[in-house]
Amino acid sequence: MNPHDAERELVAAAQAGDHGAFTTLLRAHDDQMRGLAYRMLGSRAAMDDALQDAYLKAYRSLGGFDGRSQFATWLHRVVVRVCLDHLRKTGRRSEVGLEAVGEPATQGPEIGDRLAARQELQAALDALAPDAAAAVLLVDGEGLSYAEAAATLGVANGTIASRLGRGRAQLRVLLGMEDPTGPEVQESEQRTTHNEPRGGRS
Amino acid sequence: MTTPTGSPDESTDAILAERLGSLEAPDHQEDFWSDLTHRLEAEPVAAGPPPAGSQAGPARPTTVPETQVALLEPPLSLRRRNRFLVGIAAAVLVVGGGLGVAALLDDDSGSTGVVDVPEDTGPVTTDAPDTSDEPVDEQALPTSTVDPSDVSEATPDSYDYFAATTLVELGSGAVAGWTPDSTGVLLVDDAPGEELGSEGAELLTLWVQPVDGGERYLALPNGLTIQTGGADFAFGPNGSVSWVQWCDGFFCGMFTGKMAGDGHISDVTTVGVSIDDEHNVVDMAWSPDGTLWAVVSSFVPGALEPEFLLGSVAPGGAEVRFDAEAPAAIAVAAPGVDLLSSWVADDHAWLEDGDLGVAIGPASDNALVDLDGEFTDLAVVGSAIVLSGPSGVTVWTPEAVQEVTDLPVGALRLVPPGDSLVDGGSGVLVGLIESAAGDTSDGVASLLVSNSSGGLDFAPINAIPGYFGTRLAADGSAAAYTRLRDGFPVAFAERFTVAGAGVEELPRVVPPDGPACAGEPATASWGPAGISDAAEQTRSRLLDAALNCDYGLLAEIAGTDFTASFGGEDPLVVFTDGGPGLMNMLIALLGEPHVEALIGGEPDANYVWPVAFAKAVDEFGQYDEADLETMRNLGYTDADLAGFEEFGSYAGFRTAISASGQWLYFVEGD
Repeated sequence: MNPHDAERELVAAAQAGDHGAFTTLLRAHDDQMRGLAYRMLGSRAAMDDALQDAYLKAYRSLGGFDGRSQFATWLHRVVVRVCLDHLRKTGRRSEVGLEAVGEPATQGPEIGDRLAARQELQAALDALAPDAAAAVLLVDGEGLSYAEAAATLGVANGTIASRLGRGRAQLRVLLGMEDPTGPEVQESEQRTTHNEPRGGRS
Repeated sequence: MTTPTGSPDESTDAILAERLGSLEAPDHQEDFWSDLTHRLEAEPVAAGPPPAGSQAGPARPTTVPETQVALLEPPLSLRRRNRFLVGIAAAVLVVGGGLGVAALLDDDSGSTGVVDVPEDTGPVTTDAPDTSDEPVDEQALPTSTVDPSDVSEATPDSYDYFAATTLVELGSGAVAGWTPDSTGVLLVDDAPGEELGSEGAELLTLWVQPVDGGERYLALPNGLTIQTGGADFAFGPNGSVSWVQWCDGFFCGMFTGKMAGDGHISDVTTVGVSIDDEHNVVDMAWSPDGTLWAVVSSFVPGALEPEFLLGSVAPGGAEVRFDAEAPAAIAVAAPGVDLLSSWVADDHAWLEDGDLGVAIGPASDNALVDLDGEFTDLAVVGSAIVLSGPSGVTVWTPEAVQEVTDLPVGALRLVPPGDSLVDGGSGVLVGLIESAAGDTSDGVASLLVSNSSGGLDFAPINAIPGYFGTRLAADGSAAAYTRLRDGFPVAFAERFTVAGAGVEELPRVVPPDGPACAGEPATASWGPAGISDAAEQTRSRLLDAALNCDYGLLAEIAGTDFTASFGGEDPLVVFTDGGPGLMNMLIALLGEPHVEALIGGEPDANYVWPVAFAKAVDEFGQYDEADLETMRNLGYTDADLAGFEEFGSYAGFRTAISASGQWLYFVEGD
C-alpha cells in the first residue's frame, strides 16, 4: 500500500470515529504543524494551546474533508486559521527558552548567541501587526505563494502584497537589516549623473 | 480589478525565510497528546463520512436555482454591526444604484438566511467635503519636480505613440486612476497621520494630486479611510466609486459614493456588506449599467476554508455562488457581451450569464470552451474575453481561442471604451504588475488592440522597466503610472497626445536576431528615444551601423573625440575585434532606457545607457530589480551582477551620446 492509500484509509477511519487513526494522522504531520504554530505564536504554550484547538477543530470538521487536497494541506489551513484567531485575540507574545534552542547535547558555547538571535527575531515578530506577521510568516516562513496565502487568509492577493511589504520592511528595520532613518544620498563627483533620492516613504 | 498578483517564484524573501526557518519549534509539553486524546474522547459525534456527491476535481460554479433576494433598507452605520449570516453563506450583495442588498442563499438548503440588520444611525452621506482643515501630512505632499534620471524611459517601441509634453513626479502613493476631469491623479496612500510600521499603516486613503500644480487633497470625506490592498477601489460609470471602509478600528463595510470632476467624493452610502474577522470583500466591479458586483470571502462558523461568494441584482441576472476556490478577480462584461458575471479562481475561470451558461473553465455541462490553466485576471474587450496568468495570455472569442504562452502576466488593465491608444480602437494593456511592495518594479507590457474586424491583435511585447501599471486619463490626454522606489510606490504622470500610429507601425528597436553582418544591408526603423534630435540622429545611425556590422561607419561616427577603450585603442580596431558580439551589445544598450546626465545638478544633456551606470549600488549593496533586469537584458549573468554589486557600481558596457549628437564613448570595465 502506498503512503497516499494508507493516509486515505486513516482518514476514512478517522471520519468513522476512530480516534487512534486520527491521532496517527496528526502525529505524522505534527512536526510541520508545530513549526507553523510556533513561528506564528512565538511560545511553546501558545503553540500547544493553538494546536489543541486546531486538532480538535480538524476532528470535528473531518467530515468536510473530501480528499481533493492532501490531508497535510487541509490540516495546514486549519492550523493557520486557528493560529490567526489566537494572534488576533492575544497578539504574539514570544517566550524564548532553552527548550527552543536545542537539545542539551547540542548546546555549546554558542548557545547564548543562538538564544539572543532567537530573542531578537521573536521580539521583531511580536512587534508586527498580526495581519502583517501572518503574511510574512506564511509567505517567508512557510513558503506559500501570494495566491496560497491569500486563499488561506481569505483576502485578495493585493492585500497580501501590501501586508507583506510593510511587514518585511518593519522586520528588516527591527532586525538591523536596514537603517530606519534611511541612507544618505551619496553624491559622487566622478559620476556624470546623480543618484535617485533614497530612503523611506515620504 | 484586484491589485495585481505576483509570481510565487518571486514572493519569498530569502533572508527573512532563512531567519524564520531558524525558529525551530520545541516539542509539545508532556501532557499534550494525553490531553488531546481526552478531548477527542469527549467529542459526542464522530466526524462522519464525506458528504454525498463530493468527488475529486475542481469545484464548479453553482448557480443557485431559485434565489430569493432579500432587499433591505441599507444598513447605514459606521458602528460595528452584527454579522448577518445567511445559512452557511455570507452575505453577498450587489448594489443597483447603491441601495440594493442581496443576500445569497445556501444553495443546498434553499432556505432564506437570517439577516441581522444592525442598529443604524443613519446614512453616511456627506456633502462635498471641505478639505481645508484636513490633517494633511506635509511630508506626503508631492514634490512636483522631475528628475530625469529617476524616470525609466520607455523603450521606443512601447510608448512612442505618446508624445509626452510633461512628466511630473507626484510623490508617494500608487496611482489608482484619474479624476473625471483629468486634472488630477488619484493616489492610494497612507491615511493622514499614519506612519510606516504603525498599527494603522495598513490604512490607506484616496488622495487627489493635481497634475498641473496644487497641493494634494483627500478625495474621500475627512476621516474616511480604506482597507489596504484587496478590493480597494472600483470605479464605475458616471463617477460611481466604491471601496472597503475602515471605521475607527475595524473594517465596517463597503461603501459607494459619487466622484466629482475634481475627484472629491460625496454621497457616501454604505451598501451593507458585512466585513469583519470572517468576511472580507475580495473584489468588486461595476458593470456599465451601474450595477456593482462584489465577491466576498466568508469564514462561516465551523468552516475551515473560506467561501467566495458573488452575487448581483442585475436585471435579468441570477445570483451565482462559487465556493472553496480562491478568487483572483472579477470583471464585468462590456455592453453587448452576453455575460452577467465572471469569475476567476485559482486555476480555472468561469463566466456565467445565468441562463445561457457560457463557461470558460474545465469541461462542464454548460461549457462552450474548455480552457485549462492558471488564470489570475480577466478582462472583457468587445466580444473577446482575455484571461491572464503566469503561463501567458489567453484570448477567447466566439470564433477562436488565441494563446500567447510566452507572456506571463499578472493583471490586465483595460483601456477605457471610447478612448484610444491606437487607431481609435480600445484595448487591453497587459502587464506584469507589481508582485509586492519592494519585490519588483519591473513591468512587461503589451497591447492587445481590438481591430476593425472585432478581433484582437497583439502589439510587440516590450519591457518597460520601472513601470507597473499605467492608468489613462478618461479624455486620453494623459497617463499616470507607479514605480517602486525603495519598495514604496512613487507616482508619475505625463501628458501626451495620441500619435495615431497603428500597432503594426510601431517601430522596433532591437532586431530579434541581432546584427545581420552579412549579405544585404539590413534596414530597420528606429523610434525616438526621448532625446534631442541630434542625439537621436546619432543613435539611429549607430543602430543601423551596428545592425550591418559596418565598423567603418561606426568609426566615422565615433570621430576623434571618442573613447572606445581605456587603453586608448583605435575605435575601428576595437569594433572590428569585437565583431557581431560587440554590435549586439551596442544594439541592446541603445534599446534600453537611458538617463540624461547631470553634472553638478545642472543638466548637461549627455544621454547615458544603461540607466544602471548612472546609479551607484544602493546602501544595502544591491541594485533594484529594474536595474538588475536591464543588466540581464544586456546579457550579464547573476555572477556578473553580484560582481557589480560587490564592486559598488555597474562596470559593464555603457555608451553615451551628447545632446549635440557626439558619440562620446562605448566602453566596458572600470
